[in-house]
Amino acid sequence: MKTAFPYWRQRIAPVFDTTRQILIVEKGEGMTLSRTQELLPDTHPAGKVLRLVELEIESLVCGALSRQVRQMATSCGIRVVPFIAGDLDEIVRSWVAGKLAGDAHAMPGCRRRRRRGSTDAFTQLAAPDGLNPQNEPEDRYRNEQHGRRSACQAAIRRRKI
Amino acid sequence: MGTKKTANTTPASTEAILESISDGVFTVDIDWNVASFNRAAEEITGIPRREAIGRPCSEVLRSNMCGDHCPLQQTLKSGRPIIGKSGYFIDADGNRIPISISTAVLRDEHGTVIGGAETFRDLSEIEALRQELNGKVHVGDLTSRSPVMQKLFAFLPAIAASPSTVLILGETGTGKELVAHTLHDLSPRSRGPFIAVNCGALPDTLLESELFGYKAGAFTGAARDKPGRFALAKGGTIFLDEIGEITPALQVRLLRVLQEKCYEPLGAVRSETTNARVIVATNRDLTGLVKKNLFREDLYYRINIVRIELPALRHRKEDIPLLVDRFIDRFNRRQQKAITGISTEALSLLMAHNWPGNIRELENLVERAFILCAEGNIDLSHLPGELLPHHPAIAGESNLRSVRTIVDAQAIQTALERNGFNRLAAARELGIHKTTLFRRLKKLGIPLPAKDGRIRRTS
Repeated sequence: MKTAFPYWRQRIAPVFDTTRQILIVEKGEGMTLSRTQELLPDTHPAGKVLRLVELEIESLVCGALSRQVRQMATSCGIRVVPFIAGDLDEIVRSWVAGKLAGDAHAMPGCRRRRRRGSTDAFTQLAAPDGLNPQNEPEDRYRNEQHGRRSACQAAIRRRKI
Repeated sequence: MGTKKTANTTPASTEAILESISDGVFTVDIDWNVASFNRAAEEITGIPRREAIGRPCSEVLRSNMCGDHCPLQQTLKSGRPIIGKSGYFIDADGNRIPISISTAVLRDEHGTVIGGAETFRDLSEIEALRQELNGKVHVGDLTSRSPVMQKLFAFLPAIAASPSTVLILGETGTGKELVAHTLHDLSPRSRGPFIAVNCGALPDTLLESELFGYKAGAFTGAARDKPGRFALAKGGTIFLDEIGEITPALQVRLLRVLQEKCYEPLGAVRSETTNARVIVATNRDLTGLVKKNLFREDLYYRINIVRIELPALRHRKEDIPLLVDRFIDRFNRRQQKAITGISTEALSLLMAHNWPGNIRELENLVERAFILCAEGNIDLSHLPGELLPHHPAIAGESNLRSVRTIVDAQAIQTALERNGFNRLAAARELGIHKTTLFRRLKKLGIPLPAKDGRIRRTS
C-alpha cells in the first residue's frame, strides 16, 4: 500500500494545498518496503491531487487541507488522513506500525472532544474524521467511490496522450 | 515620552492590552514555537491557548504563507516588519478563512533577537461585505452579474416564500428549470419533493395519467393504482415545463386543479386534493397562442400571477466569463481534470457569438472543450468550427489577429442587419467612416445583398 506524506523541514507539511515535497512510503505487513521522494507540481491543489493519482497513492497522511481538495482526493479513491502534525520519521513509523491514532499526532485544535455529560470516551470528533484510528474501518468514501480511481487514471492517461 | 511609556509598560499590562484587542496576536521563540497566544487568536483560529503554546507556529496557524514564504521568517531575516499581507488559513473544518498578517521582530534589552510577533486579522466579514457591495453573484445555482438578473435575485426569495403559481418565460436553454428549482430550494417547501414534468414530451392521454394518476381497472393493463405527479408533489413543488404544448382538453383539467386544488385520477369516483405549489414554464409566446385560440385565456390569467422573464444569453453577455468559470469548475470536479481557465482569445470569441442555444449551448461548448483540452487553458483550438468562420482573411493569421478579424466581421454584420443593410447608417453606428467600412467589407469578404438599404425617393 502506497502512502504519501507531504513534508517540510522533516515535519509533516502544515498545509497540503501549498506543499511541494512528498515522501512515498510503501508498506506491507507492518514493515516499510520502500521510501521515495517526489515533487508535486506548483499549481492549483487539484493538480497536486492528480499527481498523487498518477503516482498510484492509496493514502494521504497530511496536515491541514481545504475541504474541496479533500473531497477531490476522496473522489479519486485516495484515503485522506488530515490534520496530522509531527516529525516526519515518527509519523511514518507510527503509520507503518498501524499506530497513527488519537490526539498524539493531531494538529492543535483538531483533537477529539469529549461530549459534555457523557461517560463514554471520545464520542465525537472535533472535525477531522479522517483521524480515525488505523484499525477502524476505512474511510467510508473509499467504498462508496469504488472504481473512481480507474476513472481518474483514465483521465490522466488521456492527458498524457 | 511615548517611547518612555512603552518601555515602562509592565508585562501584566501588556498582557491585558493583548487580551482586549480584536486582532489575533501570537509570539514565537527563536525555535518557531508559539510562546504566547491571545484571546482573539483563540477565537479566530478556534484553537485553545493550551493546545497552541509550545507547538510550531506553522502547525497552529496553518496558513497558505507558512513554509518557504513565511512572512515572519522574512521579517527575522531582513529585520523589517511586514504589514497587512493577505492570505488564508485552514480551520479544523477545512474552511479557508481570509486573513491579513503583520509581523515584527522581538528583541531583548540588549537588542538580541529573541523571536517574532505575528498579528492577524479575520477578513471574513470584510470579504462578505465586499461581496454584498458587488451585488449577489450567486443565488442557489444561479450565477449572474447582469443588472436584469440582479433584480430577479432580489425578488426571488419573496417569490419563493409565496404559495402563488409562477410563470417562467424564456428562450430554450436560459435556465427555466434551474430557476424553478431555486424557487423550490428557497421556499418553505424545500424539504418536500420537486417534481418536474415536461408537458411537451408526452402525448395528451399519457400526460393526463402521468399528472393525475389512475385507479386500478381504469383501462386495460391498469392492474394497480398509480399516483400521479400532483400526488407525488404533495408538500412540495410541481414544475410543468413547456406548458404551451398542452391540448385544450388538458388545459381545462389543469385550470380546475389550479382553481379548486382538486382533480380526479383516471377511473376514480372521488376527487383528490393537492397542496403542491405549481411553477410553469414555456419558451412560447403565450399571449400569441391565446390570440390564436390555442391556449385558454382563463388558464393564461390563472398561471400569469407571478411572471419571471429570463433574458437570453446574448442580452447578458457580461455573464459569459462568470458562467465559463463555473462550468470549468464543475467539469474539473466531474472529470477529475485540472483545466485552469480560458484564454483571452477564446473568451473574446465566446463574447462575440450570438448564443441561440443560450446557457445550455455555452455549457455544451465548455464540455466539448474539456474533451479536447488536456490541461492548461481552453484555447481557440478547443472551440468548435462554427465559432471560427473560414474567412479567406483569417487563413494563416495568428490567433489573436484571427479572433479580432472574426469579432470585427460579426460586429459589422450585426450593424448592417440592424440598419437594414444601409452602409452609411451601419458605419455611423460602428463609429467608422463609410469608406473604412467598405474597405473592411472587402478585406473580410463579407457579401452584401443587392439592396443597399438606402431610401429611394420616387419622383
